[in-house]
Amino acid sequence: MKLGVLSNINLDSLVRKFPDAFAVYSGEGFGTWIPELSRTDSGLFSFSPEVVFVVLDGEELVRVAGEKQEVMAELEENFQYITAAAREHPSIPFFVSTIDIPPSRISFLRDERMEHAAECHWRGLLEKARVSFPNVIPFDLAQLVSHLGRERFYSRKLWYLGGMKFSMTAESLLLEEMERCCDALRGIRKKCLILDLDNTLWGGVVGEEGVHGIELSEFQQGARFKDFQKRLKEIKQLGVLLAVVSKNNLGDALEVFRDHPHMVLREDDFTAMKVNWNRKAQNIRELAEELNIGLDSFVFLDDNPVERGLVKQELPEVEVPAFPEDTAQLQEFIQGVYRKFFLKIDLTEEDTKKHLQYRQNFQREQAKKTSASFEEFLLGLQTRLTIWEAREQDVRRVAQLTQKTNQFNLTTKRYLESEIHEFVRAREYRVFVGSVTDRFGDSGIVGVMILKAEPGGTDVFLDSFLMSCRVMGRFIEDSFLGFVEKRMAGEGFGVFHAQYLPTNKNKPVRSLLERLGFALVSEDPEGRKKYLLELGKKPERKSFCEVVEG
Amino acid sequence: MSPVLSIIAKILRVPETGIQPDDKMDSFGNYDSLAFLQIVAEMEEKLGVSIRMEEMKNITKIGDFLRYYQGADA
Repeated sequence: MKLGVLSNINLDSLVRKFPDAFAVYSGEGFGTWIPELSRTDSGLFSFSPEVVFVVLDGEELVRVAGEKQEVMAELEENFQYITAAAREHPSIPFFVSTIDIPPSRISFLRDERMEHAAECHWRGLLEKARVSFPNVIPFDLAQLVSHLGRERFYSRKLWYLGGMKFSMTAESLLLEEMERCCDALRGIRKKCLILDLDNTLWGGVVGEEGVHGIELSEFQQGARFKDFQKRLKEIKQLGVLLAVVSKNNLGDALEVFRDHPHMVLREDDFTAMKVNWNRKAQNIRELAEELNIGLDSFVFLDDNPVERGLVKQELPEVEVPAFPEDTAQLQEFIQGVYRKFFLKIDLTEEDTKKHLQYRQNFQREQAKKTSASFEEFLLGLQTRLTIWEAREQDVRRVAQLTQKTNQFNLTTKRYLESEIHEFVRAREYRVFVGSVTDRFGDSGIVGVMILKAEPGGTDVFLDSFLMSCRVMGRFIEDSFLGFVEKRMAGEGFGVFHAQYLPTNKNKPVRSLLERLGFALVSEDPEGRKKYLLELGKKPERKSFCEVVEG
Repeated sequence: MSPVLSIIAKILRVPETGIQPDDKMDSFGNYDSLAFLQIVAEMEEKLGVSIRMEEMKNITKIGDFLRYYQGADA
C-alpha cells in the first residue's frame, strides 16, 4: 500500500519501521508538509498515495508565540492547507492528527493556558472538516499521547539531537495505529465475535451458583463484567455479529439472559447461540456453515486456556486472543480486541442492519426445509429486486461490498470509497446496484455490477460482478444480469465481455458465466477465464423475483 | 546474549551473532546518524540506560554501547 506521511517534525525513524508491504513517501526533508500538500505536482502527489497521514506536533505548530488571536489565526492558516488538499484530491483519504501541546512555558497559576485553547481550536477545525469532507478522517494523536503519558511519549534528547520528538515506544504505538487505520480503510476485518458465558460474560458458573449467584452488577466487583458487556453491545451496534459458544445447560443460560437485571446483552443481541456440551471447535464449524461465513472471519473469546488451546489447534483460521488473567482489565481488553480485529472508518446503514439480516437468513433456512420443492421455496419468498445506477449515497456500501465479498465475486477487485466515487462520476463507467427484500425482511444493497462502457461504443466490459453471500443460491444474479443486459442493449451496446479471476474463495462462481449462457473465449493455466456474450442473442433468463427499477 | 546487542542487531538489521564488541559502528552498511539515535533511545527506554549528550561523540564501537549497560548493571 502506498502512503504519504507528512509532518512538521522529523519522522524518518517511524517511516523506517514500516513493514515492506508499505511504500511510504514522507517528503523531501522535513518541514515541507505545507508545500507537499498544496502543490498538485509535489513529490507527494506525484507518488500517487492511496492514503495520506498528516501527523503534526502541536508545540511546533504554535511556535510563534503571541497574542491568543494570532495563535488561533496561525492554526487556521495551517489547517486550511489540509482542507484545500482534501478538496483538491477527493479520492485520497487524509488522516489528520489532533494536536498535543505540553505546557512548557513558565507561567503563574492564574495565567491563561493558551496550549489548551490551541488544542481545542484545532480539534474544532478538524471536526468541521470531518463533517464537510468524507475523505478527512481524524487521527487522534493526542489520545495516543494521553494513553502512554507525555513523559513516555516524547523524548527531549531525540528532539535536540535529531529533530525527532517521539520516543521509540511512541513510534511503535503510532505505527500500530497507522497500520490499523490502513486495514480499516481496506476493510480488512473479522465478522463475528464468539463469546463464552461463565467467567467471560459474567463471573462464576451459573450452573453451580444460580442466576442470582453470578457476579454481575452496576457497581463494585460485578461491574467489570457489566462494563465488558456494555462495550460488547457497542461492538454489536457497529455491525459485528455476536455469537455464544458455551458448555452449559441452555436453560440455565437463557434464565440469565431473560431474568438477570444487570445483563446488558439479551438473547436477541446474538445472531446465533450454541449452548450445549459439544466440543467448541465443532460448534464453531457449525456456526461457520449456518451463518455462511468463513472460519477466518471469527474471533473467539474464552476465559479457559484449555478451551482456547483446543480451538486454536483444531481451527487455526479462527483468531483466539489471550484472555486477561486479571478480569479488572476486561474493558481495556475488549477495546483492544475491537481495534485489532474489527476497527472501521465509518458506519453504514447496512452495518446496523446486518445482525437482523443474518437472523432472517436462519428463518429462510427453516422455510427451505418445509417447502415441497426448491422452486416453491424461491417463489414463496416473494423476492423483489430493485436495481438502479449507484448515486453518491451508495458509494460507501458499494466500496464495502467490493472489499468484503469473497465467494460470489467474479473478479474480486477491491475498491476504496474514493475509487467508487470516481466510477460513479466517470462517463465510461457504470455502477449498478441491486437491493433485495422478501417476506422475511429487507436485505438492503446486496449486489453490485461495475461496467466499463465507452458511451457510443459497442462493447461492454464487466469489471466486477458480486453478490453478498446473504442472497446466494436464489438466482437473483440471473435477474440482475438480465436487467443490465436489457439496459445496455437498449443503449446500442452489442457485445458483453466478462471474465472470471479465480481466488481461494470464489469457487462458487467458477462456472457462473457458463450457466448464464456466456461463451468461453479463453482460459489460461492459472484458471483465468474470458467470456463473450452477444446481447442480440442472449438467452431468456428465468426469474424467481420481481424486478423493479429504483 | 546481551540485550544491548539484540537492540543494535535489530536496528542495523544484522543477525545478533554477526556483531562483536570490537566492530566499528561505521563498518555496518545500515548504520547512520538515525540508527545511532534509535539505539540510544531504545537503550534508554527498554534498558533504562541513559547516555548523556556530552558523551555521545565518544561512541565509535559496539563495545562502547555495551559498556553503558554493564555500567548500569553494576
